Amino acid sequence: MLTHSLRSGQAPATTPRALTGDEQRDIEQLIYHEAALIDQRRFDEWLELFTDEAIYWIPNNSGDSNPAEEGPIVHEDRRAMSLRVARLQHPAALTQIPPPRTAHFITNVAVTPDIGEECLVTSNQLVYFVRGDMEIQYPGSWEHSLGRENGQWRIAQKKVCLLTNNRPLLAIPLL
Amino acid sequence: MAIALQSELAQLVRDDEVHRRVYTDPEVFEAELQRVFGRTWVFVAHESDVPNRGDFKTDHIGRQPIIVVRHTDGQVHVLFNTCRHRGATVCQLERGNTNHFRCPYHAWAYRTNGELAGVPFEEGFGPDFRLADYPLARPARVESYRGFLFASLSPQGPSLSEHLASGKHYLDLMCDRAPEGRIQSTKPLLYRYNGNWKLQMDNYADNYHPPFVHQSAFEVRTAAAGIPNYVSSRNFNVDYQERSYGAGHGMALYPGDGRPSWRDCYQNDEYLAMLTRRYGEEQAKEMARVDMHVMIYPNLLLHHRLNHYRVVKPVAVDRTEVYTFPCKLVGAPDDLNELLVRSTAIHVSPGGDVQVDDLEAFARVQAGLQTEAVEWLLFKLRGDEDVNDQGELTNVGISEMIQRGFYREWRRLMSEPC
Repeated sequence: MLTHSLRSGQAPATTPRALTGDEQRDIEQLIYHEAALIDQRRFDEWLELFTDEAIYWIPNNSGDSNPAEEGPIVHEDRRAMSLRVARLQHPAALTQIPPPRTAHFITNVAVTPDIGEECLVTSNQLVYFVRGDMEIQYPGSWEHSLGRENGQWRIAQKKVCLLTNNRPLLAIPLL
Repeated sequence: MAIALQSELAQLVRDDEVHRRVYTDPEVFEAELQRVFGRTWVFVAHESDVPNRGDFKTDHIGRQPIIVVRHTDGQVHVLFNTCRHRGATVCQLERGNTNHFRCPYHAWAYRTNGELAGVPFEEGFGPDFRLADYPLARPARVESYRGFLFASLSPQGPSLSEHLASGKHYLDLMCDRAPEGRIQSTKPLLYRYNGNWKLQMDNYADNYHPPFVHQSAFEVRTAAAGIPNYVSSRNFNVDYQERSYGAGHGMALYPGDGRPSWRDCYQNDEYLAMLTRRYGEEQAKEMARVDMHVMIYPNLLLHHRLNHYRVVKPVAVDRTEVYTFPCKLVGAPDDLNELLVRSTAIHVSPGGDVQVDDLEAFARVQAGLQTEAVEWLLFKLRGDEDVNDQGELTNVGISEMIQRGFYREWRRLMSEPC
């Protein structure tokens, strides 16, 4: 279970233990792998990267907004995420006919460790989206809160702060 | 506008058919900005958008920029966002709190009631120059009903009360469900689509499309909950109450039959007790289960179950933005209000599970309507139309009666001299 400080995106209160080079690499690889599973439409495998208490969150207007006070673009627990995955694979889902093609471009990855069992990974991402005659770019800052379960890093919260989250958006893909 | 086009516009709408140009022709779109948005009552804000003195928001009527602001005396003003000197917008922020608006170009400064407070180098304008002659301009008429603020750019025409007709009752119902009798808007969720603004209006009280457009969302939801999918293509024998009323408005009431639904969130003991104290047990129960879609011509939508209102903004003939304001019921328990805000977001946000499929349908209509060989869209679906005591057209079941009413008003506004 993650500490509150990590969930809220703040620096951990305890003095972090320095990550080894291997640990740092593993964490970065998880962020790349998660994005690749979306781009490859391997949604069931994508879901498996998340903890049972995970949250997938795209704030409306600002990253500080409280989803109980201000309607979020997305704020889903693990169950709602599984429904999203089911809809993406439903044969009658209009937004998937034809299916979107996406590519995640990931840069500026920074890892803030917390006693070696939890960490916050921030990155700048740009998702390039192509579907039919539409080409859309989704730039922003991504925050992954990770926890280690049975020696494996899993995602406890994925928060996507779009630069365009104060503008009217077309239907957005899985980011 | 040329008279020739006026009579041409009238011919684009028949009793139960609408010409494709109504959705695709940029000239028709320009005419709508003048004849619909430039004349009739257009919703501009809910007063709870600007709850405190000095609070403001910027918006547009058609494409004309406005500021809605609460002055120091508590009164809400609707002002055009354009400096009286050389025309720059005097407010660049979507929302905020201020005690004045200062033009960025030559620093003309206005009070929050629109008065011109001062200009640099005032003596340079000569002895006859009076600050009082140059306040921020305002719409010809502004009226409010239950905090819903409307403006008309025309000095003539029916009052807001006449325009809303029985729509007032539906606005009342939304506010009266709050223990303190009023709603509090929250920050809007925004979506857009590549299609004409009227596609959203046609869709809102269209009870024919959900089994098809929303099949994936409804099947996934109901399968996960372990309940039958009631909104299915096998079931068009429904008890929906449809109304077409006033100046092109519509309403669809979903009586329901006790099956699980989002309206269950109103079955909150603390909330029901509050309503019961105010209205008595029977009426409280009735009000808590109200589930309706209300359309106020030309571009305001109200959702009484998810408790939000939406404003449909025409941007171009094939481009539309929609602002959805989740609303809290003032005085209701926090857990109910949180559910209302969240449920609106789940349904209506651009990352949600229902509205996104409508947006796809709108874009496909806009693309298909480029076909010149097929001129007329059909609105022929009929029910058992009748007229009730309030003079509303009524139907039980599924029809395209509400859309026919919308286009009757469209034809009237577009073809009458103005």
